[in-house]
Amino acid sequence: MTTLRADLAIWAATVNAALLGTDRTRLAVPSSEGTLGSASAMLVRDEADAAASLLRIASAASVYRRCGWIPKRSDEPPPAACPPDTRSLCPAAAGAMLRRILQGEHESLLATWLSLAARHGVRAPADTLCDLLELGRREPALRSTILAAGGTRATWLAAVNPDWSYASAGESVESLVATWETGTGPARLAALQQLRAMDAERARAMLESSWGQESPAERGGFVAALARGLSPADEPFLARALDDRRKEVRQGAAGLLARLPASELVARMTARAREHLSLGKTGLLKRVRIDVTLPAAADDALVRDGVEPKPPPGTGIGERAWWFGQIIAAVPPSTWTSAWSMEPVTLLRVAEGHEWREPLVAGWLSATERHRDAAWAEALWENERIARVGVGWRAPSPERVFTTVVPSEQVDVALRRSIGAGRDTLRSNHAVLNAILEWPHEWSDALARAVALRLQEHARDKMALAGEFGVRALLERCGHAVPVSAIGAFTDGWPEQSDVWPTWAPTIDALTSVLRFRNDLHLAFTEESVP
Amino acid sequence: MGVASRDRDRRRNAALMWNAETVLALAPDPASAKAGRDLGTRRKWASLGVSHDTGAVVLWGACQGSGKDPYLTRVDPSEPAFKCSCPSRKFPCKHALGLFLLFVQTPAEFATGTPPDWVAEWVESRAARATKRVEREGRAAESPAAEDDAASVAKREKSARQAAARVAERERRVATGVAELSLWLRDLVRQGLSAAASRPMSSWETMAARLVDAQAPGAARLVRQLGTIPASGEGWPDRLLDRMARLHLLLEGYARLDQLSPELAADVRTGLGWTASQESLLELDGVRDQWGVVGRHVSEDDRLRVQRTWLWGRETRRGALVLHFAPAGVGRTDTKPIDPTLVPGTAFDGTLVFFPSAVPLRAIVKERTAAVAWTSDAGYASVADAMVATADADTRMPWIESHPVLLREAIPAAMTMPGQIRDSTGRSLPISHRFRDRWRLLAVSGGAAVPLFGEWDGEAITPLTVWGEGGAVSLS
Repeated sequence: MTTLRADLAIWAATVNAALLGTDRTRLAVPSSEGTLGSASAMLVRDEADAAASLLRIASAASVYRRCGWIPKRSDEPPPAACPPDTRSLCPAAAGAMLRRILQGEHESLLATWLSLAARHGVRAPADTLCDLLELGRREPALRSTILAAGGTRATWLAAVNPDWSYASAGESVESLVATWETGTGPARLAALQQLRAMDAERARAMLESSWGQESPAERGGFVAALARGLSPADEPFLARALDDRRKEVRQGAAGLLARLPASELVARMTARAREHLSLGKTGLLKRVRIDVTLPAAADDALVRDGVEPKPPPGTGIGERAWWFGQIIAAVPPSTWTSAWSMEPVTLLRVAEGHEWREPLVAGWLSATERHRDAAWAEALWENERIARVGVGWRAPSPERVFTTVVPSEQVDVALRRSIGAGRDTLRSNHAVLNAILEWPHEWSDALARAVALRLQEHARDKMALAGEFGVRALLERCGHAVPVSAIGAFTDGWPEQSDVWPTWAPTIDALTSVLRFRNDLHLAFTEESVP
Repeated sequence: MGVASRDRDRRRNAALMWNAETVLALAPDPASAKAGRDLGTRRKWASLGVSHDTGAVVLWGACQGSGKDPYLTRVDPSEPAFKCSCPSRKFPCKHALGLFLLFVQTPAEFATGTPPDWVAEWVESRAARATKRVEREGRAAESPAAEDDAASVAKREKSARQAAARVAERERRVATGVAELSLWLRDLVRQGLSAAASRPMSSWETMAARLVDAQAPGAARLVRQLGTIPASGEGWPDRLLDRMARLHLLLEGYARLDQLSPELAADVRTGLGWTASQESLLELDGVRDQWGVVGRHVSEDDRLRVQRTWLWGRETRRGALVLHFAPAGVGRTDTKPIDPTLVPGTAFDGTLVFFPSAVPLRAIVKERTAAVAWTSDAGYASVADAMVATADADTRMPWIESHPVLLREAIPAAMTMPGQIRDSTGRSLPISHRFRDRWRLLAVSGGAAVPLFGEWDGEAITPLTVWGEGGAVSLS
C-alpha cells in the first residue's frame, strides 16, 4: 500500500513540475522505492536534458497508472429497475416500421401505429421511447396513446427526466391523484384529463377540492377538461363557475351547461327563446309562419348565461340578431319540433327566405351539434342550401354537424349514395366533398371504392388536377381514410396513358406510398414475416 | 489467392451481406430511401433482368418515370456498383435503390437472360477499368513473370530504383519530423504546461501541418488531439501530460526501431502514420471465428469520415476493429454508415486478418462464410475482468487509444450526468462526458443488467451498443 501511494506521488510530482516548466523548477522524484520509483530514479540520472527525463518518467508513470487503475466500488444499491410490463413486445417488423415513422417516413401514420399497438395489446420497443416521449411533450393529443404503447418503461423513464414529467403519472387513479396534488402545470392538466376519461366523477371532485387555490390562468383549461365525460352531475360545479372572475372560465362553464339539456341554464335559455320565437299562420291559405321578436337588450343575466354581447367586428351582424342566435343555440332543437309537432325539414323550409333566417339557422346548427340531435342533423345536411350561414355567425357547417352527430354507419351510407348519384360531388367546394373531408372516421370498403371510381373517372375524363385543391385534399385524406381492404382500388386502375396524367402522377404516387405503408403496418402487427 | 477464387468469395459475401435493411442503408439520405422503397415494386418496372454468366451478377431494369423514355438502371451487387440514365445527382439514385431492393426481396421477378447492349456495355467498361487497375498493380509489384526483353528489364529496374528512393525519402522526412517534434515537446515541458495551455489552437495546428508535410500523419493527428486537451475541463494537466508522454514514447521508440520486436516496431510505425497494404494483408492467414458486430460509430474528422466497427470473436474472446474511410461528402449526414453491411447485433462465421501489432486490434474482413446468430453470453463477466484485460494490453502496447469492452451484465446508472456502468459486484466505470445518448441507454436497459459494448479510453467508457429484449440498439 505504501508503494502504491508513493507511485501516485510520483505522477502528481511529475504533473506539477510539468505545469511550471523545467526552466523554473526541477523534478524531484519523491521516492525511489518500488518499481516505478527505481525506474524513475534511473531515468533522471540517465539524461542530462531535464525536459526529456520528465517526459520519460511521465511515460513510464502513465502506463503504470493506467494498468493499476482500479474501478470504484459503490455500496449503494443500484437505482430501482423498471417494473415488468405484462404485455408482450410488438412484432419486430412493427417495431422496424415505428422507427421509420419516427425518422420522418410517413410521420402522419404515427397515430395509426399507436392505435394498432393498442388494438393488439402490444408495447413499443424500448429504443423508441425517448423519441415517443419527446413527441408527446410537443403534441398533447398523442399523449394517452403514447403512454399506453410505452407501458411501464415509459413511466419509469419519465420519472427520471423532468422534460417528460407529463408522462410520469402512469395510468393508475392513485398516481394521477398524486400528480394532481404534487405536480406542476402541464403534468397536472394531463392528470386531470386522463382521470376524467377514466372516472369522470372522481376527476371533477378532485378539481373541486382544490378549485379555490387554483391560479386564474389555469382554471380555464381545467374547466375545458370537463368536456370529456360531461354529465348532469357536473351542473352544480359549473353553475358556480358562471360567477368566476375570469371570462374564459365563465364562458367555458356556460358552453358546457348549454350541452346539458336538463340544466337550469338551458331551461332559462328555453324560456327566453319562447319569448322571442313563436309560430303563426298567415294569409288565406293558413301557411305556417315563424314570428321572431329580437331581444331588446343583453342584460347581466343573459351575459351570465354565456351570451357574448358584441358581435364579431366587420361581419355586419347586428347586436340583437347576434344575441338571438346565441339564445337559440342553447336550446335543444327538439324543443321546437315537439312543441309545434313539426318535422325539422318543415321548419327549415319555413325558415327559408325569412328575414332572420341566418341567426335562426346558426342557432339551430350549434344547438344540433351541442345536443347531438340526429334527426335535425340529417335535415340540416339534406337542406344544406338553406342551412348555410356566413362564417361571422361562428356556427358549425351543416356537413360538420351531420358528420359529427349522425352515427358513422349512416354517414358512410349517405356519403356513398351522394357520391354515386352526382358526377361532380367530389369537385372542389361541393358539399359532399366538404363533408367527406370533415368526417374523421375510416371509410367503409364500399365508400372507399365509390370514391376511387369517381376520382378515376375524373382522371379519365381529362380533368387536370392542377387547381383542384379540394380533390388534392381528398387524395391526401384517402391515405388515412381508405380501409386496408380497399387499398387495391386506389393503387391500380389509374389512366396512366392519359394526357393529364402528369398532373395526377405525383399525388397518386404519394397516395400509393402511404397506402402501401399502411398495408404493411397492418400486416406487421398480424404476422411476423414482412419484408 | 487467384482472381477467380477471390471473385467467388466476393459473390458469396454479397449474397450474405445484402438484405432490405443494408440496401436501404446505402441511400444518400432518408428521402432517397423512401423513394427507393416506393420504386421497389414490380409495377414500377417495365422490364427486369438478371445475368449470372459474365462472372458476376448484374441486374437491370427499365423504370417508367415522368419523362417519355424509361430510365435504364443497372446494379452490380458484388461491389456494389450502380448506373442509371436518370438525371438525379444523388448516388445511388432512387431507381438503383428500388431495383436492388426488389432483387433482394423478390429475386424471382427477375428474368435470367443475356444482358441487353446497354447493360453489356456497362459491364465491359467496368471490366476494362478493373483489368487496367490490375495491370497497373501488377507492374508496381514487379512481377518477375513479365516479358524479359532488355528494354523492359531496364524499365523495371528503373521503377524499382524509383520506388526504393521514395521509401528512403519518406524515412528521411519522417526522421526529420520526429526530431523536430521531439524538440518541440521538450520545449513545451521546459516552458511549462500552463504556458502551453494559453497558446492559440493555431500553434498546435502549425506543428501538425509540419508533420503532415513530413509524411507522419499519425503524429500530426496526435498533436492536434493535444491541442484540444487544455479546454477539456477538470484534470486537463494530467490528461495533457499523459498524452504528451505517450507521444514522446512513440518518438523514442522510433529512434530504437531495430531494438523492438517486429510487432512493437509495427505499432510505432503505424502510430507515426505508415499504413500496411490491405491487399498484402489479405494474402496472410487470418483468424477464423464467429465474429459478432458489437459496435459501430461514424465520425467526421478533418474532411474524412471514419467508420469504426468493432467485432468480437466468440471463441477467441477478443475484440477487432475494422475501419472504413470516405471523404466527408456534401449532403450526407455524418452518422450514416460507410459500409452498411456490418450491422450491430449481427454475426458471421468468417476470417479476419489482423494488422501486425503487439496487441492486434485493427483488422480487415477476409471472408464471411455464413451469417450466424449472436447470443449475449460473450464478453467479460465483470468490470474487474475487463480492466484486467485492458491493463494486460496496455503493458504490451502502450499506445492503445480505445479498448473494446464487452460486458455481459452491465447496469447503466445514468439518471444524472454523466453516470456510470455498474456490474453486479458494485464496481463501475464512469461514462464519458461526451456520451449523448444516456436516455436511450436507460430506456433499453430499464435499470436491469444488460449486455453492453463500449470503448474504454483509460478514463471513461463510451457506450456504443446495448442489447435489450428486441436485440442490439446502437447508441450515438
